[in-house]
Amino acid sequence: MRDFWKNALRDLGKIGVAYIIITVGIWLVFMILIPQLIMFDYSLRPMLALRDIGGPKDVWTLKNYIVFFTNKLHMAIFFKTIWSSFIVTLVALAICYPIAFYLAKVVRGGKVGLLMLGLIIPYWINELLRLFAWQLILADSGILNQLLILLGIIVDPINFRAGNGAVILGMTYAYILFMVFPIYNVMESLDRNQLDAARDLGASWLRIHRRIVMPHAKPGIAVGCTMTFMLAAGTVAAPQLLGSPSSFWFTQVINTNFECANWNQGAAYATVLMLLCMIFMFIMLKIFKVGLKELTQ
Amino acid sequence: MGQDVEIADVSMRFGDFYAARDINVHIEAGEFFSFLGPSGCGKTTLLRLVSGFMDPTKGQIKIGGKDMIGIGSNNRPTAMIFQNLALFPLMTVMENIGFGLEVRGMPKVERIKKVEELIELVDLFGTGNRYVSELSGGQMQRVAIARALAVNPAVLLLDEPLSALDLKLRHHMRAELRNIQRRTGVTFIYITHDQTEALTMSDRVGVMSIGKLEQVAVPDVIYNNPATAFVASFVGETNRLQGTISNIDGEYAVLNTASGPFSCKNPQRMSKGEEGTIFIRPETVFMTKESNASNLLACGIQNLSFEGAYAVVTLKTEQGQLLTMRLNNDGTAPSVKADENVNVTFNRENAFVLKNGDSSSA
Amino acid sequence: MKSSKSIFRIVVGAYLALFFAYMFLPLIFMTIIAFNANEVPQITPWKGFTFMWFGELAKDEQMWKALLNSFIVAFSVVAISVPIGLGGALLLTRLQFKARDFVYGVLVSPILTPGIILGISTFLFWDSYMNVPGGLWTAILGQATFITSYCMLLIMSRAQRFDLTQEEAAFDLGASHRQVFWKITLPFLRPALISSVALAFMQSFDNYNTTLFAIGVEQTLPIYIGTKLRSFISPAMNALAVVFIALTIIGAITYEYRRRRELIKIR
Ligand SMILES: Nc1ncnc2c1ncn2[C@@H]1O[C@H](COP(=O)(O)OP(=O)(O)OP(=O)(O)O)[C@@H](O)[C@H]1O
Ligand SMILES: [Mg+2]
Repeated sequence: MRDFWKNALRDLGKIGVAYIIITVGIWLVFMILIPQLIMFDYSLRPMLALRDIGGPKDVWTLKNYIVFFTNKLHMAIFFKTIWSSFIVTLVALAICYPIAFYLAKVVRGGKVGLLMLGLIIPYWINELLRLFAWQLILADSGILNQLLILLGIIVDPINFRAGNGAVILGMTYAYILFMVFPIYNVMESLDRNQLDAARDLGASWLRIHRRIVMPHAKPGIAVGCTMTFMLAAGTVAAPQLLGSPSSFWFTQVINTNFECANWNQGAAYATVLMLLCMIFMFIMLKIFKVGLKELTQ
Repeated sequence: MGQDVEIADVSMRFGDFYAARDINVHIEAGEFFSFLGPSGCGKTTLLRLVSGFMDPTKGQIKIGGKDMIGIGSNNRPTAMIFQNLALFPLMTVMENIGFGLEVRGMPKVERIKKVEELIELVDLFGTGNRYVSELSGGQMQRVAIARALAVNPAVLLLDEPLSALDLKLRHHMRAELRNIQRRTGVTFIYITHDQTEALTMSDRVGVMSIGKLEQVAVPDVIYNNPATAFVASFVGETNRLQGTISNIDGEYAVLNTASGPFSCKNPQRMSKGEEGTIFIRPETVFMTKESNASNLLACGIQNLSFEGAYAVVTLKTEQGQLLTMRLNNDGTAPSVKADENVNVTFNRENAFVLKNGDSSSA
Repeated sequence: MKSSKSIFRIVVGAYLALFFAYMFLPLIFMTIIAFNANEVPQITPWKGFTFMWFGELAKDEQMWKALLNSFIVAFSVVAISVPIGLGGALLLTRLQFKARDFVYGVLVSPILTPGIILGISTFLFWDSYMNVPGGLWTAILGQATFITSYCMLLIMSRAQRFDLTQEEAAFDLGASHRQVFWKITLPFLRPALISSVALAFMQSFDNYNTTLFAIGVEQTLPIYIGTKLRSFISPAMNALAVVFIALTIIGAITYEYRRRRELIKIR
């Protein structure tokens, strides 16, 4: 420990060490840890009138969590959120894996830059606008209905936004590119000679992917899946813009709680959502056998 | 002008591992001093202790008589030339050389003048505005030297500065370094694992084994009178015969080996019954027709390899011991062929017995 | 052999074409609508080419207010996230300590946390414990929580390639810690710092989920868009989308260009 400070001061100087401690300290304590803890604390307290706060009724309780687990509707919404985020993740993986591989290892030269740009532009366009585009497409007088009517498949426009389909469709579109880049990044570091060597030895494409490309791309796949799942499960915008008023999503339930000023209940629901994303991340780490360190590289 | 460097009882420990142990040496002002030793023996560590990148676990370092412990590298009168040069890639040659002056707050006009002098000193005309990545290996080397000299150091520390250069350039730069050292009078502490480099350039050489300073002496003493078995086997080619001392005769000793008794010098004053190794340089072994000379070895010639100025002969004694010797290509050497049987001998003045030390790493 | 290869090519080509159509057609569709004189934001019926929706957008006071807020928030986030990200990067690349991996995990965790959680927790902390009501300030802090992680990762990836002997050389030549930092370390990190400024700005400017919960009654541009899109949709929103898309394309091209130049320099 003494060595640590001695080395730190020698390498970075007093001001340097102070700078690091102050900046990281503020971030870690006041922006990451304390807000999280306070949210957790909120979730463990009952909603009280202002005058009761700090009084004898202000005790820790699991009531907010019990409310959640006993509310059939909210549980159903929660599970809907899980499985639809899962579907979004799977679809994104299936679509993006070939794209990432093609971009990283097949195509060469100037074409790469153009294709990259083709991915970066939609990736950078605001999430709301991406969802808005689908709002327009799926509207009653939208282009999809118009097309189907023109082709004589339907007579009256379909209300696409009635069920959950529109939200899932929109989430997939909005978050799919969060899958491409992590996978692309790891695949790029794969040595092309390995592929050539494997092909030389007569391995089929399927085999090459199973034995060489996939194992190498594991950390990227894990990041992509974690990010996509987290974004899909945590999106407020997709259900707001594409969901039907009759079918709520979990983030909307949280939102409603806050709008009704039941912050404690909302905090409990938010904590549940956070736990869900953490559990999903750890499952990904386990499945792909990668460390948190590799995850964010 | 140079200053002297005193390293007294210095040890440096990393965890449980001693990279330097009880090092004692006094380097004179204006001296060209080399540390010679195998890779990983702690040479760089020693240099970093002198330059102040770290402080020793134990011991004292004095430069120009002043205690340096606790003083950072930016306040010591030393300048270092790094093993990888560590030039600043985002600066031009002039900015690199002028860096030390700039941080000292020297006005620009004066600085440029000084930098131009240095460019002249190290022969770098016309490269001043280039970036270091646009230079050749030898030019980068010179920039590093000029950059270090710019701050008028009393002691210049050089960490294997020539190891990355090709042979021809290395030879050239050796001469140049020696030249610069003479002209500037700065104390040079030079690190190398190349013995030729150490022996040809230095006023004195310190030979190191793992963490230990084995001998400090002028080059010819290092070569002709190594103090320890490690030095004898690390510096130069040598033949070894192991045995037990059977007799002492003044400065000389007689050693009983598998190939018979041999007489040689006894610099470590070993006594009767001690185990030791006789070291004989290949160039001091010669062939003889006399069959009753002392220190006689009957051998078969196993291999002859012609190297131009001389041939290297590999001999095998009847007991299976291998020896090498040299035959000078000056017309005086007897002509021999492989598989011939010959008698070889050596002068007891040219051989010495030393205690068996750890010479495995040599 | 040859025919199987060309079939493979066709399949790949078709796949790519479909994928990019999927990516771009909705955006193109949205763009075209911005120029249709039709009150209802749809392509059909086409009532003629017009710029009037842009005019309408420009008349919207609320939009300008939100835009101004967005700039204030984004600049503040940059001012917070980049210096802290630098501190974090230095901590994790320059200092050796046992809990390093753990600290690393905690510092990148905001990236892996849903944005709404960050918004909620920031709001709860500041609003009820520090008596700072939700507003631009809480939005800034909520966003900066995770944007700082991005900045840190960006700066770290460059800092890891730094050759430390350069700093030693500078010390050895007499430089102080301050001089070493400004003349050696910072110039080396500069490209990463510039990238992280750009990244932080864009992330902040685009953020919806975190901001929504942290900002209270104020509006940034995404919040404004979100509110509009939930109520009555006018083609003026398409006009706004067109502006966003145009800026994004310019941004993406410059970014990609810079990145390539940087890559070439390294090699
Ligand atoms: N900071 C450190 N921490 C732990 N061990 C170290 C450290 N620096 C050096 N060592 C160890 O000390 C020993 C000596 O290292 P040093 O770099 O001084 O060798 P060297 O003689 O310069 O070798 P070379 O000729 O290969 O450059 C090595 O075994 C090395 O692993
Ligand atoms: Mg070394």
